Amino acid sequence: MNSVKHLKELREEEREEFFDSFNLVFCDCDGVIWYPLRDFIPGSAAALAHLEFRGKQVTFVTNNSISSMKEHIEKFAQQGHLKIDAHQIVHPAQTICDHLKSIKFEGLIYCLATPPFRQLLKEAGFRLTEESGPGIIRSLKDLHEAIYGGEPVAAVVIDVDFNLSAAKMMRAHVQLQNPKCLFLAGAADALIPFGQGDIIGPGPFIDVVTQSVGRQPITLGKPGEDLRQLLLQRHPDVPPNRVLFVGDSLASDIGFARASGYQTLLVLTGGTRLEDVQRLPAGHPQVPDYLADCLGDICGADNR
Amino acid sequence: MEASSITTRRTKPKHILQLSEEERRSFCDSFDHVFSDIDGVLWALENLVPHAADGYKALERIGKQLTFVTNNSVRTMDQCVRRFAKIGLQVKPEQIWHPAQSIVEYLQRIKFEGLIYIIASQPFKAVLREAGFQLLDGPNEFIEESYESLARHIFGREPVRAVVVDVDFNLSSPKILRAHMYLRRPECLLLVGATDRLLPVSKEVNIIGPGPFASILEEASGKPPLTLGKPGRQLGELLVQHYAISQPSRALMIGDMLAQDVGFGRVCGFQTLLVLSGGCTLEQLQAETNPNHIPDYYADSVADLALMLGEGPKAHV
Repeated sequence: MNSVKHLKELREEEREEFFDSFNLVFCDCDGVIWYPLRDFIPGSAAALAHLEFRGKQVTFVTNNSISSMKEHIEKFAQQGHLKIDAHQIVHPAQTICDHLKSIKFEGLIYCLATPPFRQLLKEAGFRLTEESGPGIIRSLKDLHEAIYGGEPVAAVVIDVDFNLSAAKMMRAHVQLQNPKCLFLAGAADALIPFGQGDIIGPGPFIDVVTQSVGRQPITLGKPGEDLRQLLLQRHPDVPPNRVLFVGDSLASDIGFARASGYQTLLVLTGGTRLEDVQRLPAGHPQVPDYLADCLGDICGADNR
Repeated sequence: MEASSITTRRTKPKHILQLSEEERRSFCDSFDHVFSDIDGVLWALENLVPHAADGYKALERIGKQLTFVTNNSVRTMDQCVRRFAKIGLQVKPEQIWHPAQSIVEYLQRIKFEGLIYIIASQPFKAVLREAGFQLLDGPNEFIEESYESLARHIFGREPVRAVVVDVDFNLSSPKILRAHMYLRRPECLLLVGATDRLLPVSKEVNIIGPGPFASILEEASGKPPLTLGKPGRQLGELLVQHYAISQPSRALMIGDMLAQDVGFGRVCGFQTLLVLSGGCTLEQLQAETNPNHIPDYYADSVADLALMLGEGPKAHV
């Protein structure tokens, strides 16, 4: 067994040391604050209030762009009675939008993502191309139209697309043959906890395009390297070892955060079971520093 | 001495028209069975390979047994036989193997019973249905874009015991996610036909082939696929058993692709002949560094076999 400390088992002075050891919290949402796309997990609202009471800054780092910024803020207000500002929420639609603004991008975008993700880019003034040809391919002509029918684009964006298809990926592949065409990726999870187990996330599909075109995307969702750099730059005044990253995924949260030198807390309310943590050999890059059954464990026994 | 000559030959393939008289004779005597690819060997998309039929006729005349092994299940067996007839080759359906049929044969051999979830073309599915297998597929339309709708489409309670993946122009993420759900059951098999990464479907159109998607399923489920298209080991075992080949080195694999055809031949222990009439140029052959993809012999096309055997057109067109 590796040396993960369980929050519940910390002695009083160890708990105080724990709270004194960080100023800033990066916190995942689905599987940590609320059950994926559903209600708040009992205790998480109190835990966030407790962190605020302790004077910690909290930024939410989620891969979920299917809920808009407004929906995120409303959910925090209604279910958690928490007032959260838009700037406290980092998600791929927003990071990609910010990136495109920062480079003064003006071209047409082929965006393989959910409607809310696409909407966010459109509202920010970006132009997106629509699918070309019939949805279902019945002939070689249909296939040709789907791959080559649309206008040339200056950027390809891939996040969660519920109807991602080989033809769309091929259209992206063809556009990305142009070295000037930007290649951006959002959520890059290999697996997503959903229902009773994991479903395949967007990561492996992004990898297929990456391998077929032979170049890496700029990845602005977890566990992307470019998002990691962006988070490090957000708070240049806070040393990485004074940041606590809270998440429910070993790969997308803990491994990602440890690469930046953050402290890590894994909660077991999402996609990871205790056995998954115990199975990791000591020194594995995804071993968290701390473990909790749920975020509510932050409040300690007396507060729950 | 002999071993070293084999090693030299392996690293530097010989053109069959540049063999010495003695080498030519020993090559012709060294195999009984010929396995040949179709696309890129007899024809390349719409264009016929000139005099390809002469090559096969010459092989038949000296008593070689011919079998065609293609990764293309989109074409029906009938269409294939007719196209052979058009260029003057009488080929029986049982001489042609494609992944749909290899998968049927494999499933029959293991006495498979149960439901199959399939991602493949209509002709491919038809072959399995005709063989009496029960298939499940879809979603065959775009789904409503929400996690709720995704859940409705991918969490099936059907007792699926095998997932089959081949070329599907409408391959989509919901299909892959659904296949993964079935593969989480320990007894569910993963069978793969064609494994191409990029698949030419017409003159200008390629599509991402089934290979990368099968790899996604292998990675997510932890289940190594049973590959019944080239260069799959299971296809090789099936052919060797079917034709009762006791000495694999007495079979010759002919094809136009380094990984798919030469690689397949090497996996099976066959001798290999690469033809430059399809997907591989002389430069690509010379640049190949993977020893498992370097053929024993090469030729401009199968027409060279007729020339080598002293038949067919004298001038090389």
